[in-house]
Amino acid sequence: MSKPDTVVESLIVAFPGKVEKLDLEPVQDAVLIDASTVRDFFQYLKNTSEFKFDYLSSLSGVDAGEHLEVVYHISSTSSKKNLTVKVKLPTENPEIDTICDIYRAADWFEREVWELYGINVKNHPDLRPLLLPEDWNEGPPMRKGWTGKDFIIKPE
Amino acid sequence: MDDITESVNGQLISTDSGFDTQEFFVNMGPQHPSTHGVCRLLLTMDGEVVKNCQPHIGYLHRAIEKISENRTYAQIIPLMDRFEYLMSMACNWVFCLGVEKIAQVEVPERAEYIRVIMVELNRIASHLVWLATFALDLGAITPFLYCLREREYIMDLFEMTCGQRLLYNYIRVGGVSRDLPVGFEKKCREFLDYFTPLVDDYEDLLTYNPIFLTRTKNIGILPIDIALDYGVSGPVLRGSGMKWDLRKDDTYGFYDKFDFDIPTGTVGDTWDRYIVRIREMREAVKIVRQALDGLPEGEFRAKIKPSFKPAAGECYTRIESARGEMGAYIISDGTAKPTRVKLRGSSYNHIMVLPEIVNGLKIADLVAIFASFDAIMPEVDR
Repeated sequence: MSKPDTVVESLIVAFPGKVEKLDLEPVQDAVLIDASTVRDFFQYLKNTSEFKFDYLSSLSGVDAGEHLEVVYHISSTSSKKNLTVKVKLPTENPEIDTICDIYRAADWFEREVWELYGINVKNHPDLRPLLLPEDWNEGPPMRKGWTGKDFIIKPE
Repeated sequence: MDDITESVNGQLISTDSGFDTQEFFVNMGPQHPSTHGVCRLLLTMDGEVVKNCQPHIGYLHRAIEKISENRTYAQIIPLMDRFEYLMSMACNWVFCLGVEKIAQVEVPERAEYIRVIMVELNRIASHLVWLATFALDLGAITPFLYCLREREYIMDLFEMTCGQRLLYNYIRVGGVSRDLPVGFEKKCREFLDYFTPLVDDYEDLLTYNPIFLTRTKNIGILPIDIALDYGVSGPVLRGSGMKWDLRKDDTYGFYDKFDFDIPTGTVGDTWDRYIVRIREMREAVKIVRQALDGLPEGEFRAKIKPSFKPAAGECYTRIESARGEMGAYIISDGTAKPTRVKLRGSSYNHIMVLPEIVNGLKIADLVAIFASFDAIMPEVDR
């Protein structure tokens, strides 16, 4: 068995300055990557990395208050490693590159992030509303400050 | 004059009909008996042949993720039941597993065994509903009656345990909501003895039935590389020949203590996905028997304060539901309510991969493939 940190360390070596280790209790392997390196990073994870991360489990948007995050949960069916990859984005005009040609599973997840969090996914081939109605015009509903006409926040 | 590509037993052949043909659109769904819920498939057809398929989802979107951000952890568990209603026990479990990891709650051994018993019984019940509707979609009515009859026994067992027949709210953070009732073990063993030979009956009805074979063999072949690329999991991935089961490969609960096989298919057609699920029912029976044999005495729930607040942290947990990888990504900021709950259902990826494999097949084959994926819409739309 290798040390839990080896995946993260190998990634930091491969992308100097662009990748840093994240300490997220209780997750073991997590990295924060620069938004500009998303495509190179996932290309590397899938094709070059010795751990062969071939399975994208989930891709989620997160509204963390001061910034937005896109979180990728990715795993390998051969080396059985799990990895959490985070990208931080500003709340104003957030943009991220698509990875749906690298992992086809990202297709609908990215459409979801686009419509629910208002994060523009660059070069996505088919950016249409997925879960919301086609005539939705009330803004991205999963943002923390969002108010809809039937949405009531329960008091503490 | 167009060359129409047509499929005969899954093999693409080219026929020159000698007629001018024109493509047209068919709206399959959202209200269609074989989409098993409200899924709309926009089909581009050339005669009987599907040229393109575009799934439209979201008709059942209930914003469970948004509502969860406004509820305490205990209040979210009943919402999770509605995430995938045919396997509510697994939905409860995946959420509780995440919260337990963040809050570092130790689950009593008896509770772990009860969880395994419940989830495996639920898996059988879910597969029975799948088998019933799958056979019905292919025109066989008898399995429907048989399967729902057996499912009734499992529903009775659940009703006996937690008072609910479909949406259980049974698995809670730190354990289960109440102990197994008196007489559960006896009734459960009676059911297993009664059920085991019946799986052979289903197989007699379907497995090597010539009509069934014509409808399923070599129809809708899903290669492993496409399946993995699209995040396909569960019996669909195993049907394609990949030995990948989270109960063994990313183990959780007490699954490493049980002895069971992971059935796989060979070519990844509709028939393989069928046979994998049939065999999984037998394996589930094996697991329930072992869990009943090893069921220890003791507490069924760890002590959790009513004002439960886990530490700040986040994790993604995944378990093997009847359909595949069911995941929950929970972020806690240390308050009584989570910051973010993201749910991942396997049917989401299964519908995503559908357009890849239906092109060139007949519309009746599409029905068979869709049914063999066992997609369930509440899990897709959340």
